[in-house]
Amino acid sequence: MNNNDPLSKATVDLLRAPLPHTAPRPGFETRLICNLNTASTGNHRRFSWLPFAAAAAVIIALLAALPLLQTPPAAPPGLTTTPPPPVGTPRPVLELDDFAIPLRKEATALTDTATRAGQFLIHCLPSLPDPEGTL
Amino acid sequence: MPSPDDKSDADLARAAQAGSREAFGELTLRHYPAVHAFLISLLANRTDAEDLTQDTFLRALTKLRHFDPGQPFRPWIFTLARRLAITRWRRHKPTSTLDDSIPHPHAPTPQSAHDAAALWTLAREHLKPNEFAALWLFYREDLPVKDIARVLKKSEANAKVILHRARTTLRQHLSPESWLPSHRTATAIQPTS
Repeated sequence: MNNNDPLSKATVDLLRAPLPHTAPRPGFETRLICNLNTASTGNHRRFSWLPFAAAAAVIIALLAALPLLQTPPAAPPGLTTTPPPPVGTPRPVLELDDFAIPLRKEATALTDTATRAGQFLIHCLPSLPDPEGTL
Repeated sequence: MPSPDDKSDADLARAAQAGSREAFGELTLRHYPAVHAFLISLLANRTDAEDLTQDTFLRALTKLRHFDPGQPFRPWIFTLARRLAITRWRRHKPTSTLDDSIPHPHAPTPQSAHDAAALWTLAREHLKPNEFAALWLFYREDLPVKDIARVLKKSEANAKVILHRARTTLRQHLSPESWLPSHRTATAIQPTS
């Protein structure tokens, strides 16, 4: 015993004496071990969020890609679309002499470009109905 | 092949950290009676003590990866038990007497055991949880002050102060007629002057 101990030797002996009724009840040991065996370890708990995070990531990716997968909406009723020109519209056959003139050649190329651009816009944009025939 | 009984706490702890439930079960069987006795004396309630003993070892199982097998296992498990007990203590401060589930000390047990129980009841009534824990670990578990400091999360010097304060407070409240069930004579347990 420490000499500085303010407690007497008799008191210290009592503090160290066996205590009654501190022993576990019968069956407690079995219950304790069973509960420990059924408990999950911390390693399992540590990554338990992973499946939920993966599912959330997939859902977000699907929502982000949804507009890209959708087809363009059909034209609302009341709008008419211009039918595309038949494939294989005969282009004017250029004479050999036309190519000899640079200005005419340039004009022909510009006309072709404008026609293609116009057809692209006609295909993409719906046309408004024109009941009065002003267009 | 050596049986688990032959292995040290450190070996069992390493095996448990590697995933051996059997090793952790052996550690539990070795240390749960001491943890249970500490908790039942601190909380004065057998049901609470059993619940907290179970919680202590469940927490140990989940926190096992943080345990350093180079350190003794018993202070570590008492650290977990003390934390849980103090949380419970703050919610429901124990009553001055043991609960009804614990047989009253009129059962046929040695008189010194009754006196020891009464002395620890006195300690529980008058000491703070830290002081009670320090006193228990020093006298009943024979832990060195260094390990008590580890359990209390204090410096060694601070743990010495807490232990000294616990002894002094207990001595001040030692009045044999008031706490000894056997009404022993004062000379038997008179504090040293």
